[in-house]
Amino acid sequence: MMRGTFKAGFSTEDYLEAVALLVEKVAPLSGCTIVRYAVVYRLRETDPATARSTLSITPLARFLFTLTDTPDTFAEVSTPLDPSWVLTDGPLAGFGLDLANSEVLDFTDSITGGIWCDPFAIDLAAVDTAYVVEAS
Amino acid sequence: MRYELPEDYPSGNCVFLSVDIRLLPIIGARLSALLEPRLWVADGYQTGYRAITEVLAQMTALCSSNLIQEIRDFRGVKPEFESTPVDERTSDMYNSLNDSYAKMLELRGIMDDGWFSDTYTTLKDVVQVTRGLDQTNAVGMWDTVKDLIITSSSGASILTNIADLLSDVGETAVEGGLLTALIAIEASNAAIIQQQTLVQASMFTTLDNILRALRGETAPEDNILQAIRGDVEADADRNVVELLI
Repeated sequence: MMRGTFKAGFSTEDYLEAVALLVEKVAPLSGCTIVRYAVVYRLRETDPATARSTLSITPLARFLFTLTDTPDTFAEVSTPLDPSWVLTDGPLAGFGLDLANSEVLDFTDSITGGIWCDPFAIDLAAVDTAYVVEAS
Repeated sequence: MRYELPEDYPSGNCVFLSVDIRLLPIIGARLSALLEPRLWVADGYQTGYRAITEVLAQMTALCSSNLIQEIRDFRGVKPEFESTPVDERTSDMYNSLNDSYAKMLELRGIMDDGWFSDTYTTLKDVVQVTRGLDQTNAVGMWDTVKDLIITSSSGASILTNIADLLSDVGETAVEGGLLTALIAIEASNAAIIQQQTLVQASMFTTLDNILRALRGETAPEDNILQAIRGDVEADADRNVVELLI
């Protein structure tokens, strides 16, 4: 599927003609057969594109652990986020997590000191970094 | 169709992407989808997982900030901002390349004040002056040394040469020039000693001739003084001169 936006102020025929011209160009490139195309008007020409409904955003804490087998290899573990873990100063304020926080330390220690491994059965060595993600 | 990384991964060719930190939680969350096994071919999942987690681990690396700090460290902070905390420093508190260039020129020093631009001392100039062997410094001294060694100068001319060397500021006011002057003086001393040796030899010859004249053709069996004074030795009441008279 391909989608584009036209400038305002032209007639429906102008828009359909422009689409037909583009179809001729795109079809050989994609190897597809164009089965349908259409021009859709918004309520007003100046209406901005509106976001569609989606699931709610859930902040999570993402932890990256180094692996024991090879340098610069990592495993990812995400947990619910406690806002008090988030750094409040420095360049990573509002994004990075405080790895020295006692609760964070308890969590990371339990991961590295336990029987956890990455999806390929490689042991986790130590926590490398942690930050906030906003999952939907 | 599923993802599969090319055989040449990792290629070692990387892009430098600056992302505002406020955008990272969203991008980071979207990248999570790439950790799903269903997106990868069965044999490529581990490689893909490793690749994506490596990217995720770099999201707090602050490479831009580190790079900027590295560049600032290289530039060096201006003296008036040394007490400013690093986090509060701005780019203009660090030396520019022009500042560094000006300092380098200052270290080199001006050799000639030009009407329109100055001529700065080069390393070649410094080396040449230090060695004292270049074409523009100490040439006169080396010529003097050569003359002292090759020709038999008089003592007066040697002293004159030394005086000239030490008074020639243009030749001696450099380290190499002073070294050359020292060599010249040593050479002069050697020439003076040589001349003294020649004079001494000439005096020995003269004395020998005088003694030959006194003793005649046949060398006396006793010494000349005994022949002059006779058998009676001189004492407190008479001397050789009185005896002869």
